Amino acid sequence: MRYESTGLTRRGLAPFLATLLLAWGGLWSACAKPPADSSEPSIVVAYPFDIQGVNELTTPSTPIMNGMLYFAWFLQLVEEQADYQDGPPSFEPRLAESYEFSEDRLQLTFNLRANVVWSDGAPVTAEDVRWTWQAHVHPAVNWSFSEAKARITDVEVVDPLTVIFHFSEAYAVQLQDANLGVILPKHAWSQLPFEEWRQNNAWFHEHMVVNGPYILESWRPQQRFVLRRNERYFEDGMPKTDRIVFQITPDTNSRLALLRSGQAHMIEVIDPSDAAMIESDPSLNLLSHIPRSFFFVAWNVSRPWFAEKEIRQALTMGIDREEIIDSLHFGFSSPAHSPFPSNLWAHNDNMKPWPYDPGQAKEILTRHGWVDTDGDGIRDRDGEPFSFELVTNSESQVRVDLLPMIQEHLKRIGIEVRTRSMEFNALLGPLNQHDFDAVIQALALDTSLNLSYFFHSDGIDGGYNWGMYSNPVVDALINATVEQIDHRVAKPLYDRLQVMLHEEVPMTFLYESQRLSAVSKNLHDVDPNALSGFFHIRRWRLEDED
Amino acid sequence: MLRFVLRRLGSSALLLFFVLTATFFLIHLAPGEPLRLFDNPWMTADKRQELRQLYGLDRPITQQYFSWLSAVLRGEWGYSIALERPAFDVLKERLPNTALLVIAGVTVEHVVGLLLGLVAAVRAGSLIDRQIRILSLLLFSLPIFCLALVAIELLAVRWQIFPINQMWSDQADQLPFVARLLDLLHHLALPSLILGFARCGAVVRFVRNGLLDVMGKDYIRTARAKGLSPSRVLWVHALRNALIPLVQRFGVALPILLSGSLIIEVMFSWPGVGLAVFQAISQRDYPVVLASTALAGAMVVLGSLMADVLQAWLDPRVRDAI
Amino acid sequence: MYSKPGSIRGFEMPSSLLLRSGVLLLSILALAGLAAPWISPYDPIEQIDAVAGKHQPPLTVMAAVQLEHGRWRLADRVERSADQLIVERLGRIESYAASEVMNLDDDGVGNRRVFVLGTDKFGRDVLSRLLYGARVSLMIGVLSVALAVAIGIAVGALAALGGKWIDSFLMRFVDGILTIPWIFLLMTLTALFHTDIWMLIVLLGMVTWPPISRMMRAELLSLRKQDFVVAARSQGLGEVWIFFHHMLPNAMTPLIVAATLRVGNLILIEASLSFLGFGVQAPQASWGNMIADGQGVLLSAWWVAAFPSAVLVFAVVAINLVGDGMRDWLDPRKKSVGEA
Repeated sequence: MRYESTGLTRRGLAPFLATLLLAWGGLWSACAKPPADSSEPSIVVAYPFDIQGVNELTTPSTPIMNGMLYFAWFLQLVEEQADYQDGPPSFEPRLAESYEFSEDRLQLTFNLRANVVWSDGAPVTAEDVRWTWQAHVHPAVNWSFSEAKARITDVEVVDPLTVIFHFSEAYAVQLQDANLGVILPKHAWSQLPFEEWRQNNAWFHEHMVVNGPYILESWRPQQRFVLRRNERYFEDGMPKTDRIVFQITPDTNSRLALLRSGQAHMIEVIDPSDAAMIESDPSLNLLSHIPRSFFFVAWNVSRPWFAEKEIRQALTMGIDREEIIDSLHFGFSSPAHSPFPSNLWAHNDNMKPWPYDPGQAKEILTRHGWVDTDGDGIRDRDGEPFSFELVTNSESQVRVDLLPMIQEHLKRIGIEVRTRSMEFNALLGPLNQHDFDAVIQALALDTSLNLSYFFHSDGIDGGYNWGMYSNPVVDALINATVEQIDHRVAKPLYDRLQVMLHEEVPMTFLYESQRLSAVSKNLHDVDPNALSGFFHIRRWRLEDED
Repeated sequence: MLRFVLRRLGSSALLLFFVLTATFFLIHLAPGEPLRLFDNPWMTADKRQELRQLYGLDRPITQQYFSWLSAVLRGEWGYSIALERPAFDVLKERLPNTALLVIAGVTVEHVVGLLLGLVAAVRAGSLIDRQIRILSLLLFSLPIFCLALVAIELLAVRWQIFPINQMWSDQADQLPFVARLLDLLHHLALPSLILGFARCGAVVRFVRNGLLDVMGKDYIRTARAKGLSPSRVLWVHALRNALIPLVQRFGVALPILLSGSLIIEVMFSWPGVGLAVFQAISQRDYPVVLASTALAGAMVVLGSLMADVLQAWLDPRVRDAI
Repeated sequence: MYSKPGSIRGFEMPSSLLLRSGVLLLSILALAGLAAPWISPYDPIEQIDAVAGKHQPPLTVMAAVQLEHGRWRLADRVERSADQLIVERLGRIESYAASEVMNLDDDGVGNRRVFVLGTDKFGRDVLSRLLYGARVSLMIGVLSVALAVAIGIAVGALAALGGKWIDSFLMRFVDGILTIPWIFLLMTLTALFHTDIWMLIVLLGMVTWPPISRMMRAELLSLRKQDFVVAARSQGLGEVWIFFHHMLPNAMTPLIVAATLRVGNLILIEASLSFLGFGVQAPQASWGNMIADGQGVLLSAWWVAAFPSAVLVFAVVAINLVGDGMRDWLDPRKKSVGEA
């Protein structure tokens, strides 16, 4: 060798690499000391999503919307509670001290608190409420939930602290509809005409004025946004914590790592597969609640396989839900027979889910002419094999995992399932155009418990009745429940409706799953519920318990 | 040379136009539309149509294309539908972050790669050469997310040497300048090291193989035969020629780097372009996708131009061809 | 070493050894993939008991109890009594009437499962999936690179030798293709078309050829000025003849190195695509989606991701050894001794 003059030794790679790493490591380790800790005690939430704006009217209905973080900044008139076990939920006063319906229920009067001010000192008045309603229904703003305001004809300012909502008709969820949406600052935000709202999301952030417990201290996109105590907030002693940091962390493992290393105090939603790890960690608590949503396989009844309800029953009996629950949910769910969660007043407690019974499923299939005539292991009828495609969206790992399990279960009863997962965005097109065989999805219910979006024939165009299920009896029952103001009268109707849906199987209700949150033990009064994972965030406090 | 550069820029602009046009139609024809962002059960078919009108998505695609084109010619890239702010602002904000990560990663990659490759080539056939080749092979063959997961688990979670994610600490903007810089470097260290080490295997191979290749070429033998000193032959003649494919690779590597840093950006919550584009694609946020394609396109065009100029500078034979 | 013949030979020996060992490793993998249906212990997509079989570590042996309607239960231990079968499953004792069990024999049940490399989250055998995954992953890697190289050579040669205008046009075209972030292109295309493996190969090949064509062009431009080409041209030999006899063989060396690297690279690209849900669709196994499956449980069930990662690294290493060996074998230096 003639290149020894280049000064490299013969001692092998190890010393060389070590020197190299040391050089790099030295450079970085000089920087590896955390900066002087100037930060005050703050609650840190490891959160997968960034906020997309501070104005809920023009911001897409992202998960943050469902998380209802807007309630940290803005007050609602009244606040819905999660106490819907025995009847419709109650409403706690917020901006409004009290409310009352007129005799004919066509007028709803709210009496506002006198001591609420915006964070710039201006008083919150009935004008803000009226102007917020105008924004809700303005065509240029085009709020995606504006349909909820369709039956409100006017919002009348009586005096600065009294406002009346006028309705075109009386119905069950008038209060919910009037209350939907937070009250926005007219004096600050009316400077931007409604016509320009849709293109100036940053403007609202720059002109942020709040009346809720927290202001938005800072927002670095895709990094973190920080809530800071609103000094002018009206409730005494609230919020309990001065500062809450939302650390945007899209990766699941990174979120868990932050929590386990003590750099974060809360993760709103964790996978059931990580629950055991949280439970075994002495510094963490596992919280769970039942969300108001239902998981299902929707059958496209316009497809030849799924037209008969007996076949849909057989398919339901062919899916081993216990195994799915044990395997994918680690026991944190139970088989369902209804779109309503079991802790909801409208839930029919006198029913049982379809059992796992492959024997009977096979019998039904055979009885309806589905037999394996060509010996390929797949049943067929009139030359058509029982072979369909099951799709779901790829963002949800649990749903993607369901695909091979259902495939395996149905294979046992002679049905071939082809599986496919795609982005939710790409999936919604075929669903709305009913161009699919069967789909695994989950849908959320709101307080109105309006099932027409999902099962009414009106939900085929526009709603979420993807499988095109249509039955006049079910339609009539849904109409009756929606129109009924008294929930005690509605209850037997809901019960009958659930029996119908169970028998008819427009979709196979899979299971009711618990939503799990992980919280560090020194974070108190966290109360995630079906309404929001950040419910009563103003009461959260950080305190070491000895 | 100047004429060459100008001509290249001109034809590149034309090309960029075609690429953007193709992208425009591709993403508009892809299943899904941005309004899914607003979807909820209250949505009626009418409401969906209203929203489409609001964003001009109800018009025929050719009409949408021409109005988009005329806006672009005026320098307007439109508004992000998901973020509801000018699309280019979103990218402008993210570009420095990605650039920082990529530059740091590429620095690690090439410093490590060049050194190891050089050593391996000079001592070809020896123990150290074999070790370097095995190491570079292993690094090259390891999926980057495995490397990142192991590194995060050990260095960030268990030993807590590096922060787990993010680019700045909370309240870093209140720190003095030097402390802020250190805070940034502290956050940058782990992602850039992972990015660099995961990618340096290929550089080692390029440098080593290139050098060995060149060393066997006639002109090197001639140089040697003329009695030039071995180190001069190595550093001046051989290395320069061996670097040509590396330079070529560098120009080509830019877009790969952009999407290659994506996984790192996601795993470390690094607020870069990759993350923004990824979200924009899944949200069908057309303006952001198109603006970022234009940006990536411009970078690639400049990158390949730079690579060609550099190559010409390194290799006179190509310079003559130009 | 470059001047001394002895040291060239000294390098030659281990390199042909490397080539041979690479070829050997690769053929073992390829054969294993091809023979998967005969040598894999179980069906790769069979999930006979997703609960008890979930994430079992390597070398687990379980009794397989067959019930009615093709249902199975995996048990840690079974014990036969007169009219029933006592089963220890998931740390609990269950019992089945003898009439319920289809595969009863004298001591218990007639079947058992040996999970040499453990199981994944559905209780599927990792070894079987690894073997079936080998054919998918290798096929995608090799075929898509073959496609990319074919396109790359054609375009690169046309650009380098076809004259200024063609060159300029083709290279701008290549720049254009490179401008589109490939992951976006693949995502869009796989969303538009139903992806099966063949489609994936075509898409990957179509997206990854530009760097090869650029390299080919650079190499040819550089070769065109070299003495032996100039000499050949001055002898009045035809351009086509020169291209095939002098330029292409000389340009092959870096091309083979690059193509070799690309095979591994493409297997990794397939992995990240599968990771994003756009690659090989479940339940079919590829190393890529196996790693993606295991990456969430890297700590609790390391074997799910570790074995496919190891085999992946193993395969890419083998491919690279082959590439390296081929490079030395094809090296024009040895042949150019005669030509010079």
